[in-house]
Amino acid sequence: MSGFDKRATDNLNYSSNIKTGIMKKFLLPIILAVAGVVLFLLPLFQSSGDIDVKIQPAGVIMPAAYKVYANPNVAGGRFNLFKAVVKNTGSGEIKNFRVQFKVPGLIDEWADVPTATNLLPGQTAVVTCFPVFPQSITERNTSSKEKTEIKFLYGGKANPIEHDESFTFDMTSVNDIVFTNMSDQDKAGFSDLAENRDLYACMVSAEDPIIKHYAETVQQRILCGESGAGVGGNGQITDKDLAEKVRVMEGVYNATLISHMVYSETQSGEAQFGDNTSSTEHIRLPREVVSGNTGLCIELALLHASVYKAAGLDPVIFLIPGHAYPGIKVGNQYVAIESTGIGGVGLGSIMNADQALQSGMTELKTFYTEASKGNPAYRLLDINELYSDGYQDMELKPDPILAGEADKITQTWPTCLLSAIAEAQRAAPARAAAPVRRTTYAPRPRNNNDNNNNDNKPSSSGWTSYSLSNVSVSYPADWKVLFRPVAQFPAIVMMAVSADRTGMVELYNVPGAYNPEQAAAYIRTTLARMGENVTYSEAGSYNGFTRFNGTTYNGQAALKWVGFFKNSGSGVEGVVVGTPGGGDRAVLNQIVGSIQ
Amino acid sequence: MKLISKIATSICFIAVVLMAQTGNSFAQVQAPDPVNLQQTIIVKIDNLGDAAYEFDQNMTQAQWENFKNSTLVNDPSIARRNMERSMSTYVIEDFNRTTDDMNRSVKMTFKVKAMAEYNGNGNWTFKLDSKNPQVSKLADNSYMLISNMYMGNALTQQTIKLYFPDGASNIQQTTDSFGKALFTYSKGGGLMSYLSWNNILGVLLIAAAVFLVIRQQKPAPPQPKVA
Repeated sequence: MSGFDKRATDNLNYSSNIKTGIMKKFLLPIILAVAGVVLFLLPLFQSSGDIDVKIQPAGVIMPAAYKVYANPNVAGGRFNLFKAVVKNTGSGEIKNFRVQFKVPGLIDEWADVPTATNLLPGQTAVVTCFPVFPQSITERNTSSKEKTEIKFLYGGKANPIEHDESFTFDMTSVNDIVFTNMSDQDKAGFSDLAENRDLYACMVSAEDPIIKHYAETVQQRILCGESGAGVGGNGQITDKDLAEKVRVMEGVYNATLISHMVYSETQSGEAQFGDNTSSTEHIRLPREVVSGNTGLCIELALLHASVYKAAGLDPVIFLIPGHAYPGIKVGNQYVAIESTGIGGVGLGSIMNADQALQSGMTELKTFYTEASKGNPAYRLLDINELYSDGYQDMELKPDPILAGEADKITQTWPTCLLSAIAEAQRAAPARAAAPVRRTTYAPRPRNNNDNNNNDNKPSSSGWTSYSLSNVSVSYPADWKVLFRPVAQFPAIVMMAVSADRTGMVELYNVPGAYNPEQAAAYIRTTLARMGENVTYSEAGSYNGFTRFNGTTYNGQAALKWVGFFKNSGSGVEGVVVGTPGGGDRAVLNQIVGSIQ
Repeated sequence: MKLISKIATSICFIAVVLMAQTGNSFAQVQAPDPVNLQQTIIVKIDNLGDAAYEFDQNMTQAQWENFKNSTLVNDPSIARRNMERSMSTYVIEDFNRTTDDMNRSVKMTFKVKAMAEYNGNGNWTFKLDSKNPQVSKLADNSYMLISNMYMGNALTQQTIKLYFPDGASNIQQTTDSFGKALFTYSKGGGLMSYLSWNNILGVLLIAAAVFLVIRQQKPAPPQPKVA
């Protein structure tokens, strides 16, 4: 081998050795650098975050409460479409996080649900959806199955990562109330079974065009153009204000009465919504009650409440076991009326407005007692308060068909109901002016004058009597007698008063009254307008008469009395025997015993 | 403090509704009975925006007897259920309730998920959901609110102590676009928020590689001479 070759070989070996040495020297740094770059860029090869989603869907949606579902402040937010618990289970931060949903057929465009935009690794977001359903949902007259679609978006804005979820839920008709959303395993007592009762407020439809027109017609034709809805000066409620508001209540009742509206049953039952079994009730809306001229107790109560509110009153509804009746709030007082007194199957007799009011006030006493004990079955729905809490009423569109049906009924009303009643009363006394039968025990005959002077001197001893066409009574001859003692109240035909004013007898003739109850109610109402507060209760029958026990307050004294009324020809006749206290019991009992 | 108000309402309901059963008629107008309920609420927000609540309430003897005699209210599962339903927009975990008979007090602890929201870049928001609350600063990361309210017929005094997570800075009380008060604070963010363990380790490894290269730099050995 030549020297050149040896040197070349040496050089070649030297170069190889250098390269090998370089490799050995830089191997470790190269490895370290590659590892470092890989680790540094590792997130690029991983997802920026990953989410775990748990959905708690609503099992059922009630169209009547569609405004409630849009309000997160109602009932702690439990009226929602769904609640999603989203956790970032990845190792990187989630950015540009969004949640969107839609309900095909109701909310067709993707709508955003407010949520946090970033989630750190391990962080949780709670996303609650309060959907804004369109007003057209109130046109749902049947129940259906609906679907909700949800998108969870995160990552890059231009090309986000998408996670989809969906679920189906039940949608009831606009007439249905589902009484509880609580799962079966959580329910304990009555309050849990009826936790959604406040949703009745959503069915009070004072702004419904049909109800507004109905309320105006009531004001014009039943209340004869007057409305006493305003309060007195400085917000003080006077007796006159109260009386006017009560007159409005009775006017609404009379409207249903003269329409021959009847109480009727409706559908109720039990249904399963997810893991919740609940009672449901199908309720006619007020517009359907006035156009169909029929209603259940709660439906009549809702109608009354709607018209009261349209008239400017403060409506309430009293819920008791198996029943509901309307009322108003006046300052710190409540006034209630039994709206089902209009009669119907299984309800017995029909009440007039006064009787219905009396019945409602009697029921109210029981309500107070039970409510103060904390009985959850007795609940007051203060409609205006519930509105403030977010239980808003529905917006209902005009319905020409229902409006036409309602008009057909209201057109049968008199032009002014009060005038019609007054006219009937003016016509009735002519029939009652028949010659009276007189039976006297005293030797001197009585002078039967129709004036209030005291020319009729009482007998010094003995008894005398006075008769109407079907009723007669005896009383001490020395009692002072007044005929037609109250000019503006001709129903009082005669009054006899003892000298010491501890005993009193009155004879009544109420033409046009259908029965003793109606006559007593009419007397009470008339005396109330004259400043005398009458309370009474029916106490069975006596000798063919219907007996009433009562008390009359005139601001100065209380008169306890017993009344006996019976039908007579074209009206009702009756006798009232009373004492303000200290009366001769034997004499009063003898007077009662003489009634025939 | 909407959630805190809801908690207070739920807790007050537990005791106050019992007092209502002792004879206060719903329909009668009565002057409120100034019976005091003392409530202390401690809220601690962690690094992920979850809040740990600790609720203490002391009662009078009459209130305590009513409380103990009510099977409905005295059942912790019912209390939890009612609280969850009154705060349906939240997730409550680790609910626990204990009673102290000697001191007539009820203590509840629970965790509420996602009380504070993260808006990125280290910015957090904690909503009070009320307007013009009276807030006092206790320390750099703690604040106190005191409020009085009537619930039923009871005058309830609440002392609320709010603790932000360690490391929270720039805590400010402000209002949202609806005028409701809220707290904003900073935690995390900055350059370090973009760096995780893999970033840091990767940088260290690269740095080590560069160091080795520099350290191993030596002058080139002399070239053999060609004769």
